[in-house]
Amino acid sequence: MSLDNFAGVDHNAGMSTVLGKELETYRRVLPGLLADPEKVGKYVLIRGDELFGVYPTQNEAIEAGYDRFGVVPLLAKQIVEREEPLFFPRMINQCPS
Amino acid sequence: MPIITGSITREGATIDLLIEPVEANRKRARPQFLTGPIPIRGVLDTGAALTGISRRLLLAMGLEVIDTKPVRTPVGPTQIAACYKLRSAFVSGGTRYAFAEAVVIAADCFEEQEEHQALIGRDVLDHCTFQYWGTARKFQFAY
Repeated sequence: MSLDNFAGVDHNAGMSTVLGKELETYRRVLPGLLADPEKVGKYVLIRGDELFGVYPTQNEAIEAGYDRFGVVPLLAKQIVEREEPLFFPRMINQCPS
Repeated sequence: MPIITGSITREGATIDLLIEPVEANRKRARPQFLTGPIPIRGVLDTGAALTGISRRLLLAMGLEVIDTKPVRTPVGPTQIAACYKLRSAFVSGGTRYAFAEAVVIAADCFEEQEEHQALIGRDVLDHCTFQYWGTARKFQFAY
């Protein structure tokens, strides 16, 4: 199956493209979420520039998203102050030919 | 506690896996996609903080990105990796050992003809006891 068939965003291509709009939304709403200790550690559901809810688990956020939008790219992200980069010993983008 | 023994090949500590969509995807499965279980071969890699699977396979399963992670690789600046959720099981000696749901990143640098299509990282190994017997060309892990 060609990657070109995928109708979603350009995955892994850079900071601005993988769920770029959703990440922008997440960064915008994060200070408000962190201000509520009950929400820290839970999962937000974001699609586009809208936050649709906060859920106890990632699976619940995904289910809620799929119920609402179908199986589409969405952001079901844990509410944390900072995400440290993790190491992966291979390139994650298309290999140079 | 499942104990899995495998061989150390030229690629490293190689293990067979079955991967399949999580329930949220399976119950909404579209007919053109594989609903699994799909047999693949992976390499256990203590240098990888995350597990990465060939994007080709994730797309063939009809999965969609559900999260992102900032990832450093040997080349270039920190990138945002697309994350997918799936179920996986290890296979050893003809027995299937269910592991769990896992969030993995998509990686492009697995060639289609390559023997392995996944790097199993410390997100999995942190739940296991892993022994590497280099002289015997074997490894064992238990979880």
